[in-house]
Amino acid sequence: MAAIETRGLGKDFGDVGVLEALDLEVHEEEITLLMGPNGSGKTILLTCIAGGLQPETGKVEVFGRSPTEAGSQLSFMLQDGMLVDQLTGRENVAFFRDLHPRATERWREVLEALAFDTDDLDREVSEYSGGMKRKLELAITLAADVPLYLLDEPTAALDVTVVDALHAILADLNAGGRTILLSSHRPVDAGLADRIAFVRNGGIVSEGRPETLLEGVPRVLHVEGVRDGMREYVRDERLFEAGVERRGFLRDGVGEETVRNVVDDPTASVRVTDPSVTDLFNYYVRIAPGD
Amino acid sequence: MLRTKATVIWGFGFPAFWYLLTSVLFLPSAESIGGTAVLADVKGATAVSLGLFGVLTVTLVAFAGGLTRDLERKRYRKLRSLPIAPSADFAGRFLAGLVVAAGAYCLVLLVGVADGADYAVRSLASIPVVVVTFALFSLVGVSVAVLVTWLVEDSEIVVGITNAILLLTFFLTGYNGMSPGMLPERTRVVVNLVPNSLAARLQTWHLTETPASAAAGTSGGVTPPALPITPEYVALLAFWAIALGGGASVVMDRAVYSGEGGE
Repeated sequence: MAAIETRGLGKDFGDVGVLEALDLEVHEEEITLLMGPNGSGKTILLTCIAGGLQPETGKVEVFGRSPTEAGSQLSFMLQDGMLVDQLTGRENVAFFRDLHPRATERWREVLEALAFDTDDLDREVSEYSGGMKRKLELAITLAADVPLYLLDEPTAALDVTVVDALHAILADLNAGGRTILLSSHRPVDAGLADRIAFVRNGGIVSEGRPETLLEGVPRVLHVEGVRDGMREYVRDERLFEAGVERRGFLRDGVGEETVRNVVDDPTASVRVTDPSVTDLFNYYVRIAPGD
Repeated sequence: MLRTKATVIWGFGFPAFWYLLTSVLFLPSAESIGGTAVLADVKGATAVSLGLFGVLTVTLVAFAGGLTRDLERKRYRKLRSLPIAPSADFAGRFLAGLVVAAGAYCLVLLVGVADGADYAVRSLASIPVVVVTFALFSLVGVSVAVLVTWLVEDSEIVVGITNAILLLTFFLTGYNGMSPGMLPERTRVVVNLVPNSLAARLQTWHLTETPASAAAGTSGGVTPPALPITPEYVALLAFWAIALGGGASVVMDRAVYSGEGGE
């Protein structure tokens, strides 16, 4: 049984369309990652699934029921849209604990695992950094003992060590049979996912297991010190800036030798590699699949 | 609410300050109105009037500000995902407003005590009447706040409109019904009909020894018209609260929850 199923989901805000005919199936007891650039509709999709927004078209089912009916079965972390700034961290915890029937005291261990200094619980949230707010939002959300967690950009503003700790918590929950749907635009989160769905222009453009998706990504051309003449060898004629180099996805039929022969500047660097997770993100959210 | 400086200043500090200002500058001397006991009653009535001004500041202005902020910051995207009924949300907000408003009210009454105001519970029945009418008036305040928030949604305009309602109702009813002589004679009866002055006059009757129908000038100008002392006036205040509260509850359900308020 699917934990979440959306069919033909459409959502707009007046003249601004955000989601259009979006189909998504999230399997029970899996971690599914929504990846997409800023403004692609990930947050709105998660909010519709959580019941915080009503879609204009299509349907959303959570464990076979409407999001409203399934409210006590899920816990939703909305980035920057939960905490009350005028309350202390501890008061925010108490506020949300009173509002969810399946709230537990697990927030303490989550905060400890995320290296949150519990002395800060007695400070007003308005004094918190972005990372502290994210940790508190996560602790409140994961403290609910529910079969489904919806997490909006949970790793945004967290440093690498804390991201690792969060991944461990989510992996533990998943091992205990929980389903997790999270959004991110950080490639580091791909390693956590059983499945990845790429959101672009209000729809899911590709979806599958990370290794399968990675197999579908063309080899990557890295160029450094070459200004012109390489675009015709990469898909969509696009080269992405990546530090001192630029990267692109080789077109079908273009091999490493072909691109090396184009460059006659001995100081330039041209190489071709297998795609990384960062390339996976760039490919599926910026290059139309099949182009 | 208490973490918002504006609520503390305008809901607590300002009514207490205004009471003291009124007492020092505008109330007549004991000799000119019949003695110290009469002046103590006048001070008591004034404290009730300005205390309820503080109550409306909290339940109307501060409540509307809090609700609008939650809507503008998209906090309802999260709140709508929780398994709570819109009516429970409204009830929770109302109860929070009620507690804060009670604090604001008691503060002005205590400042009055320190200034020599005299209160006297008229009978045992007065206690539930005072409690119920206070709760009903608070419900009127939060209900109007919800309706204004629904109609306007922009936080700056909401604050402006609710403040305008607060001040207009206070002045147009002769300082919450404490000086009906400010109104033309033919419209004075309104002070026993509209919620703010009706609540203040009900509470004045039950909390002070102000005569119900003394001649104008002998009891601080609270009458005529006679104070609303019969149960029908409590029922009238209940009607206001139920009508406005019902409307607000529907708005919370259809506009804020089903209607995606704030989007």
